Amino acid sequence: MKKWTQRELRAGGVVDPSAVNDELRAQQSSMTTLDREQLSADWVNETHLADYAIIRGYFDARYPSTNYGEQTIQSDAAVTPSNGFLSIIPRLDPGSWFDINETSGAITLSGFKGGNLFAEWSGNALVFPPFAATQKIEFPQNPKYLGLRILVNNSLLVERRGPAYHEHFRIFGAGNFPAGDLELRLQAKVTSVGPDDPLVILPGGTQQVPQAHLYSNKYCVLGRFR
Amino acid sequence: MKQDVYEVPRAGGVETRLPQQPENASRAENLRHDKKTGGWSTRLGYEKYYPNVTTWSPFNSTITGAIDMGPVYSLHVAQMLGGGARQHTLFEADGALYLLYEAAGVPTILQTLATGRHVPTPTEAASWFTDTPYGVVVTNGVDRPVLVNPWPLGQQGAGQYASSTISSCIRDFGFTSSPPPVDPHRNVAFQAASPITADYTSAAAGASTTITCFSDTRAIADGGRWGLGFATNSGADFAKEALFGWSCSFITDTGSEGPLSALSTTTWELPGNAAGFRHAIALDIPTGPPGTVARRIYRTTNFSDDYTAPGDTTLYFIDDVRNNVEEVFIDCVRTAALGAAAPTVPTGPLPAPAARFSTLFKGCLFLDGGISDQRTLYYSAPGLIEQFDAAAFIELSSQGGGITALYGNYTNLVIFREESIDVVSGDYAAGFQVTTLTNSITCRAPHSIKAIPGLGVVFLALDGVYAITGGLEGGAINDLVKLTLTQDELVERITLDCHPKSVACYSAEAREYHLYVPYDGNDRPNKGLVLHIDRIGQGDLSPWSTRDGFPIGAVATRYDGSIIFGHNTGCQDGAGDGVNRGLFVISGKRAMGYSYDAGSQSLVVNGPPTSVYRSAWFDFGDAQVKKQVSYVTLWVMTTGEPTITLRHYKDFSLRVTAERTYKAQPPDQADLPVFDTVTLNAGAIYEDHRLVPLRFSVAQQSCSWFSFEFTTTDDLIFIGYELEYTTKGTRVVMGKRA
Repeated sequence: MKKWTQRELRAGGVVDPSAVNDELRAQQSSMTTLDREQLSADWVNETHLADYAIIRGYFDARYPSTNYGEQTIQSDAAVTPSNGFLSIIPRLDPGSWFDINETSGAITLSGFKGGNLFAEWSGNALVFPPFAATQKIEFPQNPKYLGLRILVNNSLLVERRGPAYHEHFRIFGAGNFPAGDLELRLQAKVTSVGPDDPLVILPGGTQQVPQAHLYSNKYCVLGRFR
Repeated sequence: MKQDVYEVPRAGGVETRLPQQPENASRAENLRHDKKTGGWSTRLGYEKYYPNVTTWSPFNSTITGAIDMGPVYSLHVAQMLGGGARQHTLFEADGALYLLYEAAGVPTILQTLATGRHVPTPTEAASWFTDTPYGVVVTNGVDRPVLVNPWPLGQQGAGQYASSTISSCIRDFGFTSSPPPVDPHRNVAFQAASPITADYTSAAAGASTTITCFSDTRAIADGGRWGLGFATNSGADFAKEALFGWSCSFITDTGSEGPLSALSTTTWELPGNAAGFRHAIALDIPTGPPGTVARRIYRTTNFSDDYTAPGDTTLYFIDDVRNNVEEVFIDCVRTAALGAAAPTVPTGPLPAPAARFSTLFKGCLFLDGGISDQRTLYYSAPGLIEQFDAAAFIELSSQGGGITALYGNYTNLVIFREESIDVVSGDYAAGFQVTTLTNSITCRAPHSIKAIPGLGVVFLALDGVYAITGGLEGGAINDLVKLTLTQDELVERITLDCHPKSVACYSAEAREYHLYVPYDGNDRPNKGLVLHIDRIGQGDLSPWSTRDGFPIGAVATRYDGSIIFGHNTGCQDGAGDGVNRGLFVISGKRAMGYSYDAGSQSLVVNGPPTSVYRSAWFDFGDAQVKKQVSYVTLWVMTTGEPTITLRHYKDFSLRVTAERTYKAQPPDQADLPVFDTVTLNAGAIYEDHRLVPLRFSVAQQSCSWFSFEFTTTDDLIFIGYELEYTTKGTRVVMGKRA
């Protein structure tokens, strides 16, 4: 607590003890209400602590920023599909792991100083339910999952089976990595098409049933340096 | 010669009405109550808020040159955390709202929250601040109310605390309008029966976000719980239409829900022979303005002609999106699983976008309508300070005039109006009621209103300072007490048009109510009236003293009770050195601010204020009888070498007689050692104050009325006095013949 003059000593004043005590007690009373005002100036600032000295964060609240596989032909003209709305249709499904950002692929984590890396990826996914039911069979026989994994420098950080229905997901992993820029990849893979799946690639190949939707992807990466 | 003695053991405060109570004073100026003795102490002054020796940091810290700081016309210290650990000092000058951010602990801590704000005219009150759990609501009657919550602030770089994130600490208060409508994606129905018995070849399916949901619970777990519209169409045609509408509202960090957006709809028809699938609709939902923390989504039932509720667009709660980031919401909630209906009385946008006053009462935030809507009182839902129902307002009677202040106190909300004082009682659930307290006392000085323990709500009315005491509930007695019954001369000199410029604060530490008023035609406060709470209730002793020379433009109390103020001229005084910038503190510093010495280019501390005590006019019982006053004895605490020169008057004449000068030392013992002349431990020791009489011989001849006075700029503690006089019974002659 900030304190100002309580009792100023003046030339010609009686040297009574309260002259000293009044002022001293006022300043001592600040002990009872500690707050950051009482810390010395510049107790911690960037001259003492350089940027990214012990930690560095990387994040994107909307990743990727473009759509992938999104069919807009039959969307309402008034609606602009939200960025990052991935529609994974058989024609575009490579059948293997693919980067959810089809253009740039990797995220560069620059200035990693070596140490622990924590990476988290969250979003929403929907596996198109009819594909769980195989053709001509009443009960689900071939459930589909949207597999998710995070690669760092092409080595696996974390992999999960992923959602089967319309779900929110969050996967995260951590590992130790050497100093230097790192490449982070967020990848997905739909369970492979079975021989009895009710899939049709239409003549002309322009309109297809989406197998899965993936949207509202975010990632947050924290580097904690040694 | 035997003399009569008139003893005043405790010298009173100022009283202007004649004849005066003898223990009171004609002038009691620049004095403070000395708690140790109950007397008057002259130990006061003011100093810079930051006692740096050589700079004005952070108030435009350049020592010389043109400055732009002041006058400061509003000041508020917000308490945001218990124990005073998070105090935010907000003040306004030059149309800017500043934040003194002290928790950072670095020099550059003055942050500008907003610029271009309205600068009050001389007859307008400055901004009004109300602390809420969510921040400080700032209103000024012209600009849109803002909510300031400056915690925490980030760091941009070394020594640049908060400048990059300061804009996130202030936002417009309340909702400006309805959110943009929700954009439902188009849905193309899935044409397939369940179970799927053939390859699905519909060219119509597969629109971007068409999402289907099994209606058969056997298909997938919980499958039947989700989806919109009809699940089956046993006919061969597109005959079953689904028509749904959506709306959304924003929820802010105060927990308040805003108005609903306009209804937006989408429709689809189920293809013939379709079975087994309902649909989920992707919605593009709008993101809200700063302060939004969630979006609330509402939906209708299917209101197509094919369903049971054609045309019924009643909205029901679906879900909260607990962020302000996501742009897609997929609605797959069955009609049977819809939540509660949206409020029947719609929440509107902020009804008082130019409010002047606000206060919290019974959990509701009350706002006046502003200058152009000055008799309407709006109130929010309890605990939701930005949520104003369209019907939540009180229209006050036209007789009382416009609202001049709001003050929540005890079990009532006091509404000060131009011609009356009303009180609001009740609560939100049972309804609020308005009662008129008085039609004869009016307060036009909103910043003079303070709650004072033991007194009630104290305020400056047109004809004096009053206290609203007691309450209106539970048998409590409510009363309006005039506190300046015998100080009318002081009140009359307040510039009438500039009453709104008066500012006040109450310091629990000093136990003083400080009221600073524009005086003698001034357009800003230049005179202080101080109510000393410790002197109330001591018979006829006046509890008032005055302050002169304190340049107070706005005043507030910090957590520890210290009184801080903003300068009333700032750079307007034309001094290029700008010694009047920023905030100051009334303290024990024996100085009245600072001057600038061009030669040494340094700050010079000004001298202390002049304290004056002039006694009442004494008639010693009968003014017609002539008296000869021979001695005045002042009871003082020894303070060392300070000198006291007594002067005295008689019969209301302004001709003054000065007596000899004495030191504040014991008259009959050795002088107490004093600073700068003594070396302790070389024979001299600390000495305590002593209560001693200083006896002045007075030569005044005969008088009907007698008064003495002393002025000092030095340390003095004055407790009481005695007058010794004789009378021979001589009476005043008859009046002069015309």
